[in-house]
Amino acid sequence: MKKIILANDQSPGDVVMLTAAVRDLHLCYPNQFLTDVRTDCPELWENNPWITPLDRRDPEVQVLPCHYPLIQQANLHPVHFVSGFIDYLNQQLRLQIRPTRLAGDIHLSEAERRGLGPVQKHFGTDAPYWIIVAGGKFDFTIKWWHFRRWQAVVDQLRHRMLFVQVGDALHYHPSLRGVLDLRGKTSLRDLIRLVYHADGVLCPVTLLMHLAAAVETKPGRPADRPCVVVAGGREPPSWEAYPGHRFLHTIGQLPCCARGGCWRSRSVPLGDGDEKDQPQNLCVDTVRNLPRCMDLITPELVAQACCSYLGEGRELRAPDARESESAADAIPIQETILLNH
Amino acid sequence: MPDPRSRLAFQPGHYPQVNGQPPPAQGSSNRNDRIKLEFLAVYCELNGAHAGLQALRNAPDFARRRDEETRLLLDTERLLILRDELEDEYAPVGVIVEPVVKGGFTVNLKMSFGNEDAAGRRRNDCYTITAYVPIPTPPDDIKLEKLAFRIEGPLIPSPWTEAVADSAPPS
Repeated sequence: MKKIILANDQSPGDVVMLTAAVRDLHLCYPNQFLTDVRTDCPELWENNPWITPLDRRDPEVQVLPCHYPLIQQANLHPVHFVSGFIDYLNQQLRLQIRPTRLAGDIHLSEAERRGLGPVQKHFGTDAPYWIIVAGGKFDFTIKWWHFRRWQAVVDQLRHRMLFVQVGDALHYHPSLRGVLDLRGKTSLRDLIRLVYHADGVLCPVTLLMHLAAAVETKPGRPADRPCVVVAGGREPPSWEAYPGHRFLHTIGQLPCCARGGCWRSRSVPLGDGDEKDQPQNLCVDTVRNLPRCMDLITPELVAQACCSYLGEGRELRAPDARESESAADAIPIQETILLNH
Repeated sequence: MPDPRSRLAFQPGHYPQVNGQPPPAQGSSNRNDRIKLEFLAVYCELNGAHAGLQALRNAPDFARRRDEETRLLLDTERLLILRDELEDEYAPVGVIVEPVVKGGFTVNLKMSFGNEDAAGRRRNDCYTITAYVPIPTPPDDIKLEKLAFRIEGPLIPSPWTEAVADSAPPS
């Protein structure tokens, strides 16, 4: 059997896509490969049945740095991100791997399935909840939606959905009111467990949308986890969207994303010395420093997309009165100057 | 809004700290310091308005001074709108401002910036991290230069961590 170490030092969202490539390599070529990985997020590979520990000093081992040049085709052909690494492996290893599922491949242990989720532990109740991501990393700030708009969605859905806010403490994640605030309090594995127990995910184009598709749903729930993505015009839905997700995009609505994603990096310069501040990487059409494509997406539209999952034969439900009350009691209300005046 | 410290009626007790530290100097030219000063000025005014409201409501003749209360509340609303406008202006560059409030007064502003990390370093600047790793000396009969060292780990350059084109604009 051929021994390969697949290496990638990109962000967790990219690595979720690599998990799909590893799965599909084995499903398309059973018993022909032993695979190990080197990435910055080993938690994404826990319990993964396709991983065999390999030593790169072993002369039989091939170390393969993995990229996804297929992204260069994203505006030209209907190709999906899940095929990104698969296409690269096909080129490098002269294979014909086909995607077997339009999602990454994240595995939970039995203990993780049986255990209480972080929110259940917090509330002491099995109240349904959605995860909300109201920000992102500093590299591609063009993906950010304005925090007041996220807040408006939470406010509109206050009596229908309980939101749990997550985000890396080192990234941009302004606090929202009326949510359970788990910003900076979740490891990557915690996030996976949080997604497993979640009824839905609301986010920009980010790791959580990939986890929403890659992490299995609990028994008795719809196989496709609801997910609303505030996407704008940076990336075409054919590349980024998953079946069952509400991918709110503006491709075709504006001159700057008329025939595909703009793939630009930032709304305005951050002044951090990064080349992404260069004019060719900046949004060409902003409204009060928000990309116009993101401005076109209103809180009402997003709230509607979330609500579209409730009912319609799905078994999703909003928190009942007792759960809402319990959750509201448990949510630490930040003492703000507004409350005091 | 002018720096409140330049006013004769300035109340030092109304001027919050920033990230638990004293505020920047007046007229500072550093961009982030200027942003701090803008928020500090608004919160200082809000604290002043709140102190005025408190004093008025505790006054024995408060019942006859409802007009004054309305004026102070309108002033507070104006300041909150100013605060929101500042937040809106700086949100796209990654500025987050979270007031720490005690007894109705903002005593500290927790501020973070898109272009700097928590230690105040520009995010894209290189910096050095030094660590001391004790390694037991080898037996006398083995020369140090004969030993092979390899360091592995995230972010440590290795044969497989070559530059990767992430999300490059498609041509």
